[in-house]
Amino acid sequence: MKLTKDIVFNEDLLKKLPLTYHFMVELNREDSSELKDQKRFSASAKHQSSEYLNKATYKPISGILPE
Amino acid sequence: MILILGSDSFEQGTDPVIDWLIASNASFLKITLDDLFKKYAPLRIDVNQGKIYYNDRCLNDEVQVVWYRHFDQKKQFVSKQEHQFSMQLNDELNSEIATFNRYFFESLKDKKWVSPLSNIQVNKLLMLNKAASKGLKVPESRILNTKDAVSAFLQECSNRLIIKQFSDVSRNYYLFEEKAYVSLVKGISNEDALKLPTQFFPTLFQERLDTDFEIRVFYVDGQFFATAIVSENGYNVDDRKKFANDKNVHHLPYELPAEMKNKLSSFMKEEGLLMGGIDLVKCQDGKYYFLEVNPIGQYLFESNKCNFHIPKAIAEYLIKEDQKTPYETDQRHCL
Repeated sequence: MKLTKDIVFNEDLLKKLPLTYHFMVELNREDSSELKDQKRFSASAKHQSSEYLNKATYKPISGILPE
Repeated sequence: MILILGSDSFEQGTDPVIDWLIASNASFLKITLDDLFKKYAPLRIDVNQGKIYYNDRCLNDEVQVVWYRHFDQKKQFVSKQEHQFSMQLNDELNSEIATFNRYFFESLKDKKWVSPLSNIQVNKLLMLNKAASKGLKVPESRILNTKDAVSAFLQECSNRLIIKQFSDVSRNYYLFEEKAYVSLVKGISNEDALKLPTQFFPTLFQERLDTDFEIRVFYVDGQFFATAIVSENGYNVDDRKKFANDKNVHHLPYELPAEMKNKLSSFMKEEGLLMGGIDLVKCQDGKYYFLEVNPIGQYLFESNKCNFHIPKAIAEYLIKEDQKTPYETDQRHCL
């Protein structure tokens, strides 16, 4: 059986939870950038990071010249 | 040396700061709980001497500054599928880690912590009281557990209420295949109130402010990076998580009035917070309201949208503190 929110967060469970859980919002996983579902991570020894993500800059970089 | 106590899972704000530490040839070391308890990185602790050696480097001797980023998180070592006693084993191992961490942090207590650990673990409800004591406006807030009390508070707030969580942990996503479910800030109408159960788990209700726009501030020891989050369609009570990718929402650099900066500085100093994300709203009547402070905070999204270069500012701050002699370090900022 496919699990859905209404099966897992059923009325009996909701009775034990704060009201915020009664009004949970449904989002598409791929639209929620916070989940990083569509991202591919690498590792960087230099950054001492095992989940490294090189993020593209949103706007052209200013202030790049040495001060 | 700068010690970064980080997390092994992706933490968006930390690596861009490390970019600048690398570019500046700063001496730094990042340690995560996974490094210590899953990957078994070379660690030796002389309990009698109170000395910690990591990769044969004595942290007590080399570290000047500790930058704390989501280090202390519960770990899963054994899955339900792997072992019938997984829950008990995970609890016991996390308890071992908790005792280790207490000793680890205590051994480094003479270093400059950004921010001190005891100050990072804030209570959002208490912060509302403390912000108000510094002259900041905060929304009327009640924790209620009966339908009758909600109706009375609704009336008191001219039928404008929201509900939200006490803590950030209860804002995590529940994933069902292609869908994600999350509890966000929710406006409560009279209709919603009528449908509430007679009694329920205590929940935080706040007056719904007549908001013009939200302001996200990242504070770095006296520097303010403020972003106004403006919607073309007018302000919606919905949570920022819901409209982060909305093309009609714009993120603009915002200059806070000097009076607000003074009040916020005073609040952050009083709470011993050297960095943090502060959420404000500006109401239609021009008044500013304080909503919450997150002492670890995220800054990358707003920094990129507004070209603030916050990671550079943080790296420069950490380097400056690392270069101070221990005598110059303000002891009040230690653990």
